[in-house]
Amino acid sequence: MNAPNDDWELVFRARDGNMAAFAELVRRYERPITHFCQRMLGSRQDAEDIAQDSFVRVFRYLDRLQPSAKFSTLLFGIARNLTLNFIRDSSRRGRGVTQSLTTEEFQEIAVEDDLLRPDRKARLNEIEAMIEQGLQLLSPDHREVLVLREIQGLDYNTIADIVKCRKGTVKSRIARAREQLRQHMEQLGGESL
Amino acid sequence: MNEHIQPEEISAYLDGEASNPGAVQKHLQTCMVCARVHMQIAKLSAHLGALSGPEVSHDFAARVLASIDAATPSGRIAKAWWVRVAVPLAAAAGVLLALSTLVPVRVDAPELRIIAEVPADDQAIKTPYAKAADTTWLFADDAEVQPEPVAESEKVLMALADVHIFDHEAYRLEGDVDMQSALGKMDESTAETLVVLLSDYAKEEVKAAW
Ligand SMILES: [Zn+2]
Repeated sequence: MNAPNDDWELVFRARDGNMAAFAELVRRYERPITHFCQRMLGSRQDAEDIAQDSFVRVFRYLDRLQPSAKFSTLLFGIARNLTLNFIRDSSRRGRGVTQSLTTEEFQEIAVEDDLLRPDRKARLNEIEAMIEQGLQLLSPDHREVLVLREIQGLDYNTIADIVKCRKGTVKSRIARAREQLRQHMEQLGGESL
Repeated sequence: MNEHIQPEEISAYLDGEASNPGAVQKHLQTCMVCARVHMQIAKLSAHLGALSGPEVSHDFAARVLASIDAATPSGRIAKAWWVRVAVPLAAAAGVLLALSTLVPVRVDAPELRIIAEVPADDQAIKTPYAKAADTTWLFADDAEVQPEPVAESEKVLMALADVHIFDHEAYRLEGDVDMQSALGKMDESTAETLVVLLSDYAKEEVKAAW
């Protein structure tokens, strides 16, 4: 069989009840969507649940989807709404989405790590851990645009479509998110990035 | 000396989104202050881009499709997943005979492999049950053991749909198939029942088609 390259063609087939086509769409986007959710939520398990829910919902909307945008944009938009709902519900329930540490707690760990593993690779792992923590310290507004840009590699127009704001807002939010993350990193690990 | 470039503009420049990239580039070549900001952002960006993505569960898609199936009252999905799985599986009666003998020996014969050949034309994919004969199943092994006759196949197949592990594996059966691993994850009696039922179901479908 010739696998269709075009997402919309798969959507149309899925609309006709072809579940193999929908399964192909899921396989195409399961990793990027889960990765996006993971960076938004800071939790691997929650991320996968939300990512799966995103696909279930997009399936429900199949009939109404219009190929005026990229399918992936619509899908990220749904995943984004679900992560924001999840974050909101979690804070309403009085618990953080992640088991995220406070800056001070994390600083202690970082210092310990430095003493234990002075080699470069360990340092890189540590920076990765700091980035992960730092991302969680950003507001969801800033986190989402930064993740969509840096991890998903999306352009500003696409990001604006996903988060439903103007391109200029995306531009300023990304710049601010970077600056805040840089400051968090300095606080967390002492590294001047 | 010109005014410094706004950090927001340097950030956008790095993303290929600056309104005047030429001017930014020119300024960065001559201004240490802005060059340093640019370098900081670039470094952070590199770290972010290097974050490793998650390995998603092998049954991610299967779980999505199972949720959809469970939540879909009627209409869109013409037939329940077990029908879509069953019929391609049942495409050739001989295959099912072989399949029915596979299960009891699967522990002793790890080299046994079943390869599903994807139908050549799209239409067959779209409606696998309508063109079941286009789906060929190849076996590494041949066997000539008769399956046990089992009645009420549909009813039991539906009951099988409730078996958790099979639910998750169902769509893998439909696509690129590693039947042995799928069967290996089921408990022995579930797998045996499935195999027998599928063969029975196949006979009914073939009869109906004729
Ligand atoms: Zn300057």
